[in-house]
Amino acid sequence: MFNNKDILKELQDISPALIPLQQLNVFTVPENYFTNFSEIVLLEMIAETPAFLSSEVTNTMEVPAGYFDSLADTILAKIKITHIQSTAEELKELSPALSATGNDNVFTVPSRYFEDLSEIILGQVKPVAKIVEMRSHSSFMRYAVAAVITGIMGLSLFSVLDKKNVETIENTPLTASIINDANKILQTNSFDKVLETVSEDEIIGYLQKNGQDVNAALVAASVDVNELPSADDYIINEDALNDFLKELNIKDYSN
Amino acid sequence: MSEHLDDKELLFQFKNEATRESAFTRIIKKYQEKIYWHIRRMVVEHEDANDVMQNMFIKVWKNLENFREDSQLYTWLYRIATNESLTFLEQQKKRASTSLSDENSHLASRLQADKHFDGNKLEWKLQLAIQQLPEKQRAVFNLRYYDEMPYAEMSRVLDTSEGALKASYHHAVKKVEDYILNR
Amino acid sequence: MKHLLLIITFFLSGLSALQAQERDNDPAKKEQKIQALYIAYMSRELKLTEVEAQKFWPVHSQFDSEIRSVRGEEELKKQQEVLNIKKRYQDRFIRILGNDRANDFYRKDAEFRKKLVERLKNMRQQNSGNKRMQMNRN
Repeated sequence: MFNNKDILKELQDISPALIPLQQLNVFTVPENYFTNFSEIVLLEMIAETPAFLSSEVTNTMEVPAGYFDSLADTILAKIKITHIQSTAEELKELSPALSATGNDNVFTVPSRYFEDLSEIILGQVKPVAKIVEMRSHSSFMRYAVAAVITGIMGLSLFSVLDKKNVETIENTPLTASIINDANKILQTNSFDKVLETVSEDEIIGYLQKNGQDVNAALVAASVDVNELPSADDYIINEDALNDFLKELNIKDYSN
Repeated sequence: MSEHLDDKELLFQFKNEATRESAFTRIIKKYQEKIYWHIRRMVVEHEDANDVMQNMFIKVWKNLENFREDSQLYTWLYRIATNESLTFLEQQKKRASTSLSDENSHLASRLQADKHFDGNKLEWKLQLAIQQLPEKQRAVFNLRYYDEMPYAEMSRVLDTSEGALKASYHHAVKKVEDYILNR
Repeated sequence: MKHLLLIITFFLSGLSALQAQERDNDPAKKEQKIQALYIAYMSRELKLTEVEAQKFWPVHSQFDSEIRSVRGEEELKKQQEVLNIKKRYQDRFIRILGNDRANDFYRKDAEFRKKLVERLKNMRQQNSGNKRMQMNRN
């Protein structure tokens, strides 16, 4: 009898003639075959002569010393070996060509990728950084302090040793006070306000240090509609415009 | 080779808030390579594999508490990784929908764009062959061929019956063999 | 540990006071405000976590000093060098921030400078506006 209605239906669609056969099994199996099966298999694996073939079973059969102690391990070992072999053997059967190709890896990975990965992911699952207070002992602050020390040490060393040389890599060290200020800005959400307290010179200096052509940038910045000259400014004098155009034409012909 | 803690211990530590982060880090370090290469073989590009890795482990972080431990941790991780990879590939297909050509040729061309690509080398040919397979079948093939995963475990990773997986794998091998020998 | 932090802070402020005396003009100090704005801006826009901040700022500091030390006459050559530096650092930023946010970094970096430029522009307009008003009054 079909337990599964879908399979029955599937069969009706493909080949109704098979349904009357009702999955009848023609093969017979020895009594208790299945109940004893697993035991027999185990015995098969460890015995030299299959258990069901040996006709003489006497109670005085000897068992090697320590046989039962290591029995479990031996069986496990055999099971493991057969397991691993099965994927390779399976492949050999299916496609000898493919089993010959091997597992060589063709893909490359950036160096240090795996070393850093866990930290990056951890950084993404943890909540966004809490505001770092001046008095906290977070390692970010400790790092900043260390940076200050190396930074300022470097600076003082430089100015003591060599006052002539001004051309040096200009690196404003990340001082604790800068970070503190940054935190205050974040805390009080006062970015725009603080921006307004910055002087022209400071901005120009900063932009130039970053290699920016300040004047070009100003021009490129979005044109302020209020700044457009009024119509009066354009055409001062109609005649002037005509004269100008005439001039242009003359210049063109003379080239 | 560093000593990895066993999964039970790691899960226990994860469930404890005080040791959650260190346990999470250990889990990543323990399985990152195996999971990464599985993902990479699906999506080809490192950048994409990295994205999928990170998304996947974020999901792990959020859901590990609820992991019922009725299957192996490894299996569960593979399951999420495979789902994320398949989702990624789906989205990629949609984004590239402007071209009417076969989507798989898209991945194939990415393989060919790899700076180490050498069409004559057998291992690259193998990769091209694998990229011809439909995504899910590709996953089946990779899991069996590269990771040597038993069908029982694979069935939990892919939510598919063992019989179907076996058939799928057999077909996949035949297709791949055909590609290698005849192209 | 608290004491150590205090001691270091005093030590440093002492040192920096020395520095201020030696230099006629300390542009570095003037820049502090803008630096602070930059850090605040980036931290917010990129949504940096603590772990990321720890890794990001030192790398950014190096990046910054390399960009600043680009010298040369020709504009195009300078731009090319800057682009090369950005390309070189892209990989490191990606490893710290991931792909999307590394891209965001370059964009936000430019946006920050744009804000400065616009502020500059506003200031100059206001100044010239003030001057015009003064002139009109006279």
